[in-house]
Amino acid sequence: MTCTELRDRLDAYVRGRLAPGDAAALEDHLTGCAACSAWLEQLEPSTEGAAALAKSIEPASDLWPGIQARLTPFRGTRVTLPSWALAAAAVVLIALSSAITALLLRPGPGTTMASTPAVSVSPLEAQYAAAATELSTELERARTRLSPATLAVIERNLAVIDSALAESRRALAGDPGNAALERLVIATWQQKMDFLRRATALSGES
Amino acid sequence: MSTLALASPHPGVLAARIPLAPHAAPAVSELVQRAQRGDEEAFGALYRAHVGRVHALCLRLSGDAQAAGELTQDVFVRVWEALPSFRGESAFGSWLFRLAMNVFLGKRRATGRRERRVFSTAEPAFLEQARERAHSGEQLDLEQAIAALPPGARSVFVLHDVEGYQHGEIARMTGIAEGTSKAQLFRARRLLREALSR
Repeated sequence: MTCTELRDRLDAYVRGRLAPGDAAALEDHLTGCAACSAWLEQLEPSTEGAAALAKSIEPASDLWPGIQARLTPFRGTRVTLPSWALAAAAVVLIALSSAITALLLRPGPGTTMASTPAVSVSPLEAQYAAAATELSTELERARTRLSPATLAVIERNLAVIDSALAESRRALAGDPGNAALERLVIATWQQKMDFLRRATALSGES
Repeated sequence: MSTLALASPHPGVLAARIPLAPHAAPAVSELVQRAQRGDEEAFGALYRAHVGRVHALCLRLSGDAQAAGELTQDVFVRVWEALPSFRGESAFGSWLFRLAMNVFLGKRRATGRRERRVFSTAEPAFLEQARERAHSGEQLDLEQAIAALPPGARSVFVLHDVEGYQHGEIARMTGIAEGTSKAQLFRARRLLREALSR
């Protein structure tokens, strides 16, 4: 796109009426053309009052309780790894957790982690989190019926799963839209739900 | 009285300073170190020191009071998760601000949502908050007009003209080309001028 073409098409760009290819060409031109960039700045200088708008706006309600409820405990110093390594680490942790669970707790119905479809994670995560909170509360009530050794095993396994969950969520946050990571997050939630259900059932039998 | 300085790309122009009682609050760096060791109380103090600035950004980027609250929560949960990787190479406030942008953009990409609503007339909670914080009718009009901008133009305008970032910084933060940032800023300013002159 030439400078003249940019100036001719600017109004259509502002109105959102430019074809996507033309809009991209206009934007590309501005990346390299200092003259057109300066011309635009002169044509539409900073909006009056924008820099004076409040930089800090408190939320209408206190958000801290909701945030605090979602904080996952972490221990020790972490090493920053690429997302593929985080995903691989999470898979290993999940496998380890499954093996320990299978050894120490009575086997239950199998899970189908691999067949989870790629979905938007956030709404599902909210549902999983709510369900996990309910099960955790139920398990908490049943603590007195479990032996200290069993409790320790349950807590250790939950910590492993939570760690895997945090790692996979972090990997997804670093690469949003990655379908494999989305499946991994959901699979980890399923793993946690499965474990909580088994642990809760175990407490009912003790 | 000492103050707690929040990160700003243009010190003196945009930095928000929160008064602190003498000897009352530990330094941000100390709070960060404690939070990195899993101290939720220290993280709560960091939250209280920065929530206004993060919420302001989320509110203006989303143009929706409820979405801004949810985004702000997501940002601080993400901050907690990412804290072990914060090495202090940049100011904590700058790091947090960039992370907030990432959360906003990631959420928008993940949900595939394209906000086409005109929030200035459709979202009463946003209007109510805008009224509370506006010092004049002009500021209220401007807030409403910003909320009505198309999402891409709104993001660039908020980062450039309200928060004071340069096109190169905006490009790095948001993953768009510098030319896109310049074009979207022009679009935003032109649409705002037209809206405010009606």
